[in-house]
Amino acid sequence: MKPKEKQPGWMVVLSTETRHLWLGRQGPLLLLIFSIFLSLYTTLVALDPEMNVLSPRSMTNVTLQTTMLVGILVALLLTANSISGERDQRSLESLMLTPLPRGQIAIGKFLATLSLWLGMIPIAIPYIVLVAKSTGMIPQAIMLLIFLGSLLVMLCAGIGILISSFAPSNLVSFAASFITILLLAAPNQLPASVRDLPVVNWFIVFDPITAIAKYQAGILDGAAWTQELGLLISPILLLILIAALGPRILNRRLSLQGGFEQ
Amino acid sequence: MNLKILTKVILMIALMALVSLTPVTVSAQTSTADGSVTVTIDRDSVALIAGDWVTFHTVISNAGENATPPLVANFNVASIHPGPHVDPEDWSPLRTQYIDTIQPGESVELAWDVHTLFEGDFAVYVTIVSQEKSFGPVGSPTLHIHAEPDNVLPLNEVIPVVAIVPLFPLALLLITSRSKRKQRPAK
Amino acid sequence: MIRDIAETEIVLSAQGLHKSYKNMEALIDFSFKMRAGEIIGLLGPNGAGKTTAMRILSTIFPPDRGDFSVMGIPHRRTEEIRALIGMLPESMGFPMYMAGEEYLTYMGRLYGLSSHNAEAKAWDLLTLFGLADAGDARIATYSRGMRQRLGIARTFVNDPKLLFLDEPTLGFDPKGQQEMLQVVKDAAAVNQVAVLISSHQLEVVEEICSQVLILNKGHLVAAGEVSDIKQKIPASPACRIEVSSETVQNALEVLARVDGVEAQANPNRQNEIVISMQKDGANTVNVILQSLIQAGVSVESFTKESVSLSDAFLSMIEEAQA
Repeated sequence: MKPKEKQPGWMVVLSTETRHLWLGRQGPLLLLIFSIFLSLYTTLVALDPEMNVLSPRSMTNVTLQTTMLVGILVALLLTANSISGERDQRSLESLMLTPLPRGQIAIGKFLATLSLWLGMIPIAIPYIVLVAKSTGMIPQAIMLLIFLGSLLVMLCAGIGILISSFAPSNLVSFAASFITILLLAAPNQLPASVRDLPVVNWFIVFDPITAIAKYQAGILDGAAWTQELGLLISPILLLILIAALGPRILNRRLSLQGGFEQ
Repeated sequence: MNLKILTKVILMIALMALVSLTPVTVSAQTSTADGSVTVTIDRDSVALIAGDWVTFHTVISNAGENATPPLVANFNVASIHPGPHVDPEDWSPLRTQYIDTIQPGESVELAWDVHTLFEGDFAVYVTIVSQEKSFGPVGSPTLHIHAEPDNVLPLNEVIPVVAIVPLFPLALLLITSRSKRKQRPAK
Repeated sequence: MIRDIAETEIVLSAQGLHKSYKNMEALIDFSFKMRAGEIIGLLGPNGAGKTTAMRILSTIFPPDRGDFSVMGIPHRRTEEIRALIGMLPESMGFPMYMAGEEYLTYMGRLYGLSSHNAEAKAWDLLTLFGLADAGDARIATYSRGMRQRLGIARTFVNDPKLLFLDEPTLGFDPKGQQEMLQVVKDAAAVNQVAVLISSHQLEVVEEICSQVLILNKGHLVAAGEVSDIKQKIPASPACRIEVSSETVQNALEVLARVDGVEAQANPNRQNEIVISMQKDGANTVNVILQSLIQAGVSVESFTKESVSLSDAFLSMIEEAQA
């Protein structure tokens, strides 16, 4: 019998972490909470005409944003705990003693987190279809969920893993991750008059989260897919940067106690 | 019949015919000192579905002998019936437009984009003001917008989804709980 | 202090290792060599630099200055070195949700073993370290001693050439301690694994180590064979005798009349008398025994004491601090 080929280290980490996430009940539980949240939200909107003041397209946009926001929060919850959690429970040293390049530890954990988002997509689709039915934009809404949502979740998970790698404790990791994402999402919540200021507009170009939200709103308002494609440059570039440089930085700089000193 | 009277009647009928054939433009008188600035709007009503965009045009004309001072045109919207609060800032991306001056006998046309956010009956109008105190506000006629509701979430469609979808992760949770490695404590 | 060892035998060679944290120098000019099958004790008071040394040598972090190599591989090739070493950190943690077997299999796979081989290896190690019955149980349910066994088992997952054990006996009962030490001795003797052990239990170090390195405040203050280290201490020779309870007082009176001898009853042990001799030698011992026997004192046991490693260690540390 041909012996099985040795798996790359990141794949070993990925399979172990994914197994723990799904067979350890954490993943299914998070999915259940997510689906209950969407059910409650949809039910409230349907029952209360006062809440149903948005147009169908606006409601589709809000539902998509809410789904993606929960996806981001869940990704952050997992990634913020990924490396700093090992540090807190003193099991990081054991991993660092293996021949595995340290960046591969992060890659495996990052991909395991994404598996949860992949599980959230089919859960969210029925709700998106329900809300987007009257807009005639169901395919667009689903594609936005899959592509923009995945881009957003990957970005936030990447940021979360990097912060977790250098945070001295889980508490610092969670706090720093959530604050970072809040700061990036804040411009989207500003009043229109402030959002239209040149300096804020300039910032939005470089703010991946607000840029994605703006692009999404444009598509649901009937814009063509290529019309404001420039808005996606910063999130895609940032993701490429994190993917390319993150593991290299961790190979050199991941330390037992956190921080940047070895 | 007197020919002069007949001519006047014919002219009046012709004038009335001309007026009835022209596009609907509704005028309003200015309250400037000499009543020379008027605002017309290109339609008086529109029916659409909540969430749709509509564009209307206003023409500000200076029928006076002097140029107008710098003018400010401001968009406003109000719900005709008591209901959800209407914030003009959310309904139009450009609430205010500025005009340097309008020469005597000339007009300026302004376009306004309106996004009807929700169902209901609304009155849209444009107000002209100036920094000169003698120039009182001039209001345009009202554009009535009737926005039909788009019933996004009928209950008979919502209930199956909200009830059934959570069952899938619940089933997954139960399956994974049963297949989980046995938890007996170490001896 | 580097011993002259044939180059072909060397498993670990460290030269001039330095490490400092902020304003504190944790390790200063640390140099030594280890050969295959050798067990070396690394001793020192708290804060001496033992853990720092082990973490540098196991590539957890790099030295500020200096070099070391493992099996000839320079220290900058960290991944190659890690494939050859095993380490038990002092306060080792585990992913508590995992079962013991699951954890060792995971570690084995990270060292490049296939799933099948890693699982087989895991069960072999669990059996070797007495954890076979607990292999399917979550680590969270393990006792302190069981976790320590698991930690040591983990160090053997990759069949290392070089082992670092930081306080390996913590949490063990005496029987478990002996079993663990036997595994380490067998690994060194049979598989020629070089072992560097750090322990505060000096009797353990004395039992299994052929060489010791003594650190104090980052400096290597002594290095050499255990017997050589002990001989550096000019302690006065002593012996202990046990007599019947009714003859203790009589024995003390007799010994008070023997030249060059001081005797005291041991307050901690009934019927035991500790005798220190100004002059060591068979003659003094003979005089002591003859005097007691002539006085009718029944000597139930006689133990000649030598300088313990503990004595040597404490003496050296005090000297270094003075």
